[in-house]
Amino acid sequence: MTPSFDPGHVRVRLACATLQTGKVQVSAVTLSCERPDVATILRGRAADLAVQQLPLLFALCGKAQARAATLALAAARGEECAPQLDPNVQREAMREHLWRCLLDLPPLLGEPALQQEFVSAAKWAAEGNRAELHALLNSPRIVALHQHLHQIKDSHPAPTRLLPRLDARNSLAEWPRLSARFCRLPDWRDMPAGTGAIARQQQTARKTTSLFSACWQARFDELKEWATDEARIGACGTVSAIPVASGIGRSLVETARGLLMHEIALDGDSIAEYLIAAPTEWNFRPQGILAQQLLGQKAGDRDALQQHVARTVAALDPCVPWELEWA
Amino acid sequence: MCLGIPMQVIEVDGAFAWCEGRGHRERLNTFWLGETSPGDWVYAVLGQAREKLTEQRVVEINLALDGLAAALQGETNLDAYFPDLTIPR
Repeated sequence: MTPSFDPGHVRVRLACATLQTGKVQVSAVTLSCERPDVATILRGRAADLAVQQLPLLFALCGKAQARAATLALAAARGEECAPQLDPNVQREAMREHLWRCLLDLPPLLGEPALQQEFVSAAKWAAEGNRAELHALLNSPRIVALHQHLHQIKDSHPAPTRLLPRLDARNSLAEWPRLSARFCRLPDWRDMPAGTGAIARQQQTARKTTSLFSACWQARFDELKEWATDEARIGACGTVSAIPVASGIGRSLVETARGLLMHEIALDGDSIAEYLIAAPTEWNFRPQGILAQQLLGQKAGDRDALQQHVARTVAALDPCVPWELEWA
Repeated sequence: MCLGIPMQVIEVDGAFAWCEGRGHRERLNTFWLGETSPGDWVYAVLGQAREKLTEQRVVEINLALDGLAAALQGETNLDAYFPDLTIPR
């Protein structure tokens, strides 16, 4: 039997104070995101083979990872890729959005998962059947979900510090080189920032009263953009790559969960260094968007607070399991 | 890094199935995979069966996971874990 394997996890540790009203309030948030460094297995390996093997280790975003790897390698060999929409990455991302919006969101709102609708919608997304998906997104059950989302009010407003639209070329001005530390604790202009649909939709997002609503609304907006063929460069599924220096290339891919960056340094035809900065590290880093949302949060009791944390984590969608601890 | 684990369907239970893989036994929702039968392989991620896998893909993914586990244990010669691939996705 092949050995068990720990895919990593996000750990949320909260300290709470009890208020005079009897409510509890989060007084400290400690976040850690621990997972295996996949790049470990790529160092020293033949570059062409390594970029083929990498997607084997990514279950949720295999196509995005495969594209990022291929583009970063080409860039390391001097080939730039101007920003463009990649249909395969788009379709993979739409399936992820559908999974979240039709299977995960309804139970969070006290409603049954839309399993049959998901099966149909995932098939339409895979086939590129935009018209059917568009009709589903305007169906009464989905419209009711939207209305339910708009009724949700949390004490914290939707966040304002979100990553701007970036491509490989303009990312060089922000981060001349990536590093292992950056991949663990990514920052934008020395501060944490949020990524994902909520960041990509920040220019057009409707006013919402909560991070929870804003995240789900942004996913629905991206689904509608794709269904009406209105997605443009910068949207989910955008890919780009650029040579960073001789033998070093970087790629950027906008995945369902947010900005994914690969940077490859070559030693001849072998991988000398492989760095991956993934969306979960942006949103679940210490002092990041989740931590900001939870700090100061009030609730009637710990159970209610735990439910709030679960909903907020689900909205931000880590790609590894998460667990809550009380200090 | 959104690591998934190949798991084999042991017993179908309506829209769910008991699955085993890499030392785990788990009851997964398989509704969206269509018909599943004992012996089928599925890709389990975050407690959900995301897609069906061919046996060859299972071998490749398990080898890659073994390779990653070995690398994290300090093993440096990983060639055996990464043979030439025949079915790029």
